[in-house]
Amino acid sequence: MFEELSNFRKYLPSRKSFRNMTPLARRELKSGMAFLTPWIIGFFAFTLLPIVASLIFSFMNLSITDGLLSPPKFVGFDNYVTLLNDRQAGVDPRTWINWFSSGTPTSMGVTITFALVSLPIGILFPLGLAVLMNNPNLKGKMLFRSLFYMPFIVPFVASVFLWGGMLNSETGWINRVLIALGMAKEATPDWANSTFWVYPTYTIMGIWGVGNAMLIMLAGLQSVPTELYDAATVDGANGWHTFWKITFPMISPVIFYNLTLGIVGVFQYFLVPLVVNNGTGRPGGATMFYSLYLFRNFFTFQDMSYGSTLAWFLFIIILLITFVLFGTAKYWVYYAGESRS
Amino acid sequence: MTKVLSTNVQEKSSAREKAVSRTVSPNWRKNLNGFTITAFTLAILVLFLSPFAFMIFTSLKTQDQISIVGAPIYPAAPPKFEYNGEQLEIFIVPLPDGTTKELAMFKKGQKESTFIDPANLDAGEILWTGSWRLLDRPWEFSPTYSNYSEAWGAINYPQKLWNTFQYAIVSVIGTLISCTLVAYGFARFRFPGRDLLFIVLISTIFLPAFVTVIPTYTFFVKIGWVGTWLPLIVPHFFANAYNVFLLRQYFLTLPRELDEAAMIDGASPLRVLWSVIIPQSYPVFMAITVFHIVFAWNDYFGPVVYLASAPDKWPISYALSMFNGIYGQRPQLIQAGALMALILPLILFVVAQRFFVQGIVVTGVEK
Amino acid sequence: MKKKLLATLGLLIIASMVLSACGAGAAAGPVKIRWFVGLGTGTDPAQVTVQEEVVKDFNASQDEIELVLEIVPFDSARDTLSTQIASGAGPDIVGPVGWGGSNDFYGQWLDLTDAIAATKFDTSIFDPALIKFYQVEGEQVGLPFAVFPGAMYFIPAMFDEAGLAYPPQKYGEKYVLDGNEVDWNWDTVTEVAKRLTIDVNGLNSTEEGFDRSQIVQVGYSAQWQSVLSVATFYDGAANIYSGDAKGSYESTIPAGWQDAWQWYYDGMWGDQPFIPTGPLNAAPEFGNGNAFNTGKGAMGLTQTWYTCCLADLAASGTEFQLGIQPMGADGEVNGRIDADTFRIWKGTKNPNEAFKVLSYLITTGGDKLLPTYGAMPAIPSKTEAFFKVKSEQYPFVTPESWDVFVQGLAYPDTPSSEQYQPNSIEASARFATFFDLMNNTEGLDFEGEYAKLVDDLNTIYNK
Repeated sequence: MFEELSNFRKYLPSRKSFRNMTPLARRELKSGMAFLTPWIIGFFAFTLLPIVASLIFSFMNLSITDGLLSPPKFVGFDNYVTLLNDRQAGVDPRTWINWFSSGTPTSMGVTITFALVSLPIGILFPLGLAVLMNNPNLKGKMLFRSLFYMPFIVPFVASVFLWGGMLNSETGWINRVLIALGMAKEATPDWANSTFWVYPTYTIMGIWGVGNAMLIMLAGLQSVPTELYDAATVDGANGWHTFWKITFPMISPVIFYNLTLGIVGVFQYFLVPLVVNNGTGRPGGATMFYSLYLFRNFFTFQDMSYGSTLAWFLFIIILLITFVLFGTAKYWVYYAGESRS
Repeated sequence: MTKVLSTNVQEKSSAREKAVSRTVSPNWRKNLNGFTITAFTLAILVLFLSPFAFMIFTSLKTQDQISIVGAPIYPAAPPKFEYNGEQLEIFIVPLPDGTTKELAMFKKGQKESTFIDPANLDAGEILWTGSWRLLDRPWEFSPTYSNYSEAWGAINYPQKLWNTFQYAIVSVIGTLISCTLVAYGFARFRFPGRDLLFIVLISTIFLPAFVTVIPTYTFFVKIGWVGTWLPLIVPHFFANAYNVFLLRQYFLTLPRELDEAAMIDGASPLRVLWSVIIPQSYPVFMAITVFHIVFAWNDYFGPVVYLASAPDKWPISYALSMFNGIYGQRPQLIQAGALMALILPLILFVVAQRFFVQGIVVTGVEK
Repeated sequence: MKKKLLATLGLLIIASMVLSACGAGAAAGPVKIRWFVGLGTGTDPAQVTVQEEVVKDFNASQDEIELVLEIVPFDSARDTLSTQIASGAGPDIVGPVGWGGSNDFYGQWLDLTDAIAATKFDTSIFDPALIKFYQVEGEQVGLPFAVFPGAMYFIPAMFDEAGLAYPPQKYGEKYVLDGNEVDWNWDTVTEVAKRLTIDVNGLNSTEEGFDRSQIVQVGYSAQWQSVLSVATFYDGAANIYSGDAKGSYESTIPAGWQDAWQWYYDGMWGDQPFIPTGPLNAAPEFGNGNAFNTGKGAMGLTQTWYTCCLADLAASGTEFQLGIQPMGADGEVNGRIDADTFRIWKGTKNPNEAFKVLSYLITTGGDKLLPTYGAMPAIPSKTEAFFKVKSEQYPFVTPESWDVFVQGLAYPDTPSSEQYQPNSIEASARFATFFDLMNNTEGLDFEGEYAKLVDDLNTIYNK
């Protein structure tokens, strides 16, 4: 097959010729699909079946508590109707806005609020770190990179205990420092127990494990040729200008990646609130994230069908956002290697 | 040269090509003081890593030291004085004459306590009125290293680390090979349905992983893979959305001119991948490798579901979580255990970094 | 081209389906019985070793059955078991597990009646009352194995420091407070606990100038108890719902329980606190929820199983003893007994073999298992060995103290505070949310939250 592919080049000169487009397209399809094969096999062998099964679950009344030993039935769109009327899930956009004033916040509202707080920081902080790590004047780069990366390796449970100790409202280190700096004990933040501080708390815990995003940004930065910077210097451009005109476009594909995964991550965010705030949504429902609500239905209440329904709604939401995001990409993501014919 | 600052694609690509052919040129940032930037980074690092101080201090304390409210944050213990076979705590007691003296607490009381003077036992019991809780203590630095040996003893580290190491290495190889091939397919070939397939690929991570765990488990039970490493390793050889997406993004930042030049020279697509794309991609391989190693290191629910009946196959994450469940009330052991589990991936990180940086230098991509 | 592709894909789907359909071929040889550990105790490395020994012993004792042990960490045990059961690949035996853990999988447990008859197992070795304890809706879903009566754990040195008498150690005995004989009831416990709650300046909770923001010792903690358990101890066991079919279920929490929770809330957030609040309890200084073990709680009301987790306290040189459970306002002692046993999954293909294993585990195997689980045997003749092991672990605990547990067997909570409720898991989770809110919210609108709880329960029960 690859010998065939090696003849690829003979089609290159005639690339723009309409007459030869069809065989070229065929070759491209063949080569492309050949490289995609591992994923396609894996998709059908390991991924598709479970995904389809979970879709089917969402149309059934499958629940361990109801006794799985009796065969579950199809219930049509019942679960989806329930979902639309489920105030806690908050799939009705009208419940997303002003949830502070309208009683218990909805899960979708909580998730979106947290996304607005944490996503920008989750992109900018690792980007800033990566720029710093890429600075040619920085001494001891390897050491710095390793040390900034280190928290990412800490196992989740250990980090929960760690932050529990750092951010405890009674005896935590951070509050001790604040008191030592002259703050009154009553004025120190309640961190994970305060509706105001809980998102900053989660964000702090999140950016601590930022090492991987930093590394990805760094990989992007390292692919920017220094000539571009040199030319800019000769041109007398300042640092900010250089960043926007050269660095940002060159690493925009990597930022795009981090942004997409950040959105997926924030919509699937559940482990931290589950462990740190016992998964009860405290304080005042501010931590009942959509995926936590999903997890509770799926595993805690063992209602696999309603859990799957919530999951498929989530799937559709993320898919729509992804479409929009990919649609915007052509305005701000610069692909040096994308042919623009 | 003035045109370089414009976003003109053509200009950038040619500049880019020059970079790859390795021209050495002066760097404007040399004007910046290296010391300032390093000091600034160091300051951020200290803030960033302060939680590690908590981790290390906690791992060096006894439960008793953690419990004392108002004790120093470093592992400290009040000195004790042995008296008639009993360990008495030493306090700094203010005396009526205005001086203070280190006395050993003989009998605690809410309103008054009795002390003895270790330096002058003949003085007998000294009654002191006031709350002993207000007294200072002469703290001594007193780390406890036994948490490490206890954690080490509770987990079969060599065996579990070896299991994890094998899992990490095998699956990282599978991931790198399969994801590179697939990402190359998405980044460098145009064919109908490609973008749709790409969305399908990305969408496989939109459902939270736990939602599909039941049918996945059923499938692996049916083909008899439960109780073995296969369900955890084999899928890694068939690419995953996270890394394919990242690699595709990265490949798309690489200009096509070099590919096309190679093809004109008669290189097959695979050859282009091998000798043009891969050499330019070491930084991102580095990112994927270390990310995947950490993932394998901490992957926990998978092994729990598939390896419950095979304790000799458990990875370190499984053993640690078991350990954390049991010692949930003993943070000193959890932190000691976690710190020990941290060392190996950290070494791997440093090694991987050196390896990939060397690769970059050799192939001439500016780091 | 497209057709070919589609055909290939179709083939792949079919192949994977065929692959999933077969594969589960029956192997000859001994019947394999899987024993799932993780819903309760049993995951400690030392316990794992003992359990492996028991498995080895059992496998050596016969050749029809091959017992296989599965150990899952507590944190993910429920999810793992759900996954296995939902996949139709549940384990044969699950345990040790208490009522709470069993209720999470209500309807999944095998009625043992047939297996008992088929294997001619002699149930007369147990107290008939305990056998009845495991009958749910006419089905014998378990057999007695381990019992955990309650007691008031206390630290004598703290009582000495405050000049207070120790809690009584015999049911019926009075307590001496300020020279007067009083009942050992919740009013007494509250008063004593306040005097044992100390701030950083050495003042106790009843004194002027007490600094509630810097508490260094608390008088009382309900050590690892649920909100239902707190109420049961305070006001006595009760049926918390009525009705017999969906639509007719109704929450019937007694008024006394509401008082209990109000008392508990005031104990944390009131003017004179004596119970650790959520944040205080979560502080590392307070042992991340294990206040009594850190030597920061003067009294802790909990069950026998708590002896599992006092090694650090003992190691720090602090001694503890055991007192009786307090009586409620009506003068009755409101005790609680937890009970763990093994269950058989309803979906097992080999119920009789599974029962053979179960009967081995609760009798012969129990001799090794019970001490390592820290559990009091349900078979009366075996309790002595249990206390012997415990005395070795905590040599300073007096025989009078250990005897409090034996006396405690007379004060079970019927119905258990871990009783079944309709839609059990969700209802329990709702209670847990209420408790979490109480523990962590200063200035809670208690009445409002309580009304919301009852409302939600009525909805959950009838879902």
